[in-house]
Amino acid sequence: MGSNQGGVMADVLSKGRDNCYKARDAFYACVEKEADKQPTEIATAGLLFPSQCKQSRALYVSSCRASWVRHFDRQFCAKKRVQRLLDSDDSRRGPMTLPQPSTFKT
Amino acid sequence: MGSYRGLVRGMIGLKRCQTILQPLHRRSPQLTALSRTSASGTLFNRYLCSVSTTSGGQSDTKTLPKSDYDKGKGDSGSGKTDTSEGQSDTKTLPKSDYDKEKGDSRSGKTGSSKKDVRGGPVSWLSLILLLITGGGIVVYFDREKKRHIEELKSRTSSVKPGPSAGTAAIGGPFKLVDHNGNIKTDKNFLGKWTLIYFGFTHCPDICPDELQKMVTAIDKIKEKTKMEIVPVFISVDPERDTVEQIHDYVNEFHPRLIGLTGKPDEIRQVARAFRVYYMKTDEQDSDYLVDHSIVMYLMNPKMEFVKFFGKNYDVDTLTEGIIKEITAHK
Repeated sequence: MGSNQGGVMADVLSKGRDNCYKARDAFYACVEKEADKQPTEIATAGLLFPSQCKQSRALYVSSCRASWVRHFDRQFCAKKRVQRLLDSDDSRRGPMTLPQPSTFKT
Repeated sequence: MGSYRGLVRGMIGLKRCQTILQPLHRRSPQLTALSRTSASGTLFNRYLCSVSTTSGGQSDTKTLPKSDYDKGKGDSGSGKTDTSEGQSDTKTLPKSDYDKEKGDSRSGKTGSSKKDVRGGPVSWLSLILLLITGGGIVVYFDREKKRHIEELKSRTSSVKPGPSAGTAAIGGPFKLVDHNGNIKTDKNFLGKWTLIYFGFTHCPDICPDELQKMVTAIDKIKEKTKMEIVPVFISVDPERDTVEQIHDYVNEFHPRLIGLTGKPDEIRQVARAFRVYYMKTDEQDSDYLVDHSIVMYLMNPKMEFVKFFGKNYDVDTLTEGIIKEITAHK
């Protein structure tokens, strides 16, 4: 069906995008900074953040489309998960050696 | 008579063995003591040295010089003939004893013992040869292994030329509307190289990055080779991407970037022709994202598919890749 708004949705053009990126980066930087605080607020896609970042969250949500907010949250969570997997779990890991590429160990 | 002969034989053998075995056998003084007695003399002869390689009692003394000769010959052949001689001696003497005393129970063996046993199976030369062979095998296979691994590594990273039996069936006729409202079909793109990217304007981060990459590469290629390549952006979200939307969107990236949209079934037809996956996800009210394959298709002036570039290419590798394909297809 035709576009329901009629005009051009400006928030996906470059200026809107840049604003969104800025707010997003600010919010995630805040979350990283306050990583030691107890996350009490609920974002989307399972992300939790401490109440210190509530303001930047509000700015972020207002500058970006909702689907983008969800998308970036999901991305952030996935990144965090991977990092957690890489950082910890050394105790459970056994020796990880690839087969020797050459007979003579150099 | 027999015992006297045996004694003579023993003494002669003893003398010879002493010269050979002196450096090797530390027990030789005891042995020499032993051999003084006739009974153990034969023992000594039997197990430690030989005087003949052939059977026959009379020939014993005659064969002595022969064995000496053998020794001489053996020396030139192998390094440490002493042990080999000693061993061959042990081998041959019992045989000759048997031959003399018994019948031919071991005729086969004696037949073989008739031939000149230069030395035993193990000698210094054989050891050296073994080491050389073993080392050679190890080094050879080590090199083979390294080469194989190199080959595997290069095969995964290098670009293989396509199969000679035709090209991939990607691309095809389409009819869409460009960002100025004009109808464009695939025929409009003949005559120039085209780089097609499928995306949608409401894309959060990927499409803007890819489009930026694309137009930067196009400019670089223009600089380097003076070839003009037409960048095309086809929307997979026709419901939200109207002509005006597309117009504003593509103008931000590059003046020559052509944006195409159309009716949903037209888009579906194009996407099928180019094997592009797209699916609406994250749908909440009217706000949704479209999951799609992130690929740029390079089409030659005849609008035939040449190569695709994924998200793993950055600006420079994209530039290189395109230039390579253009020059290859000249």
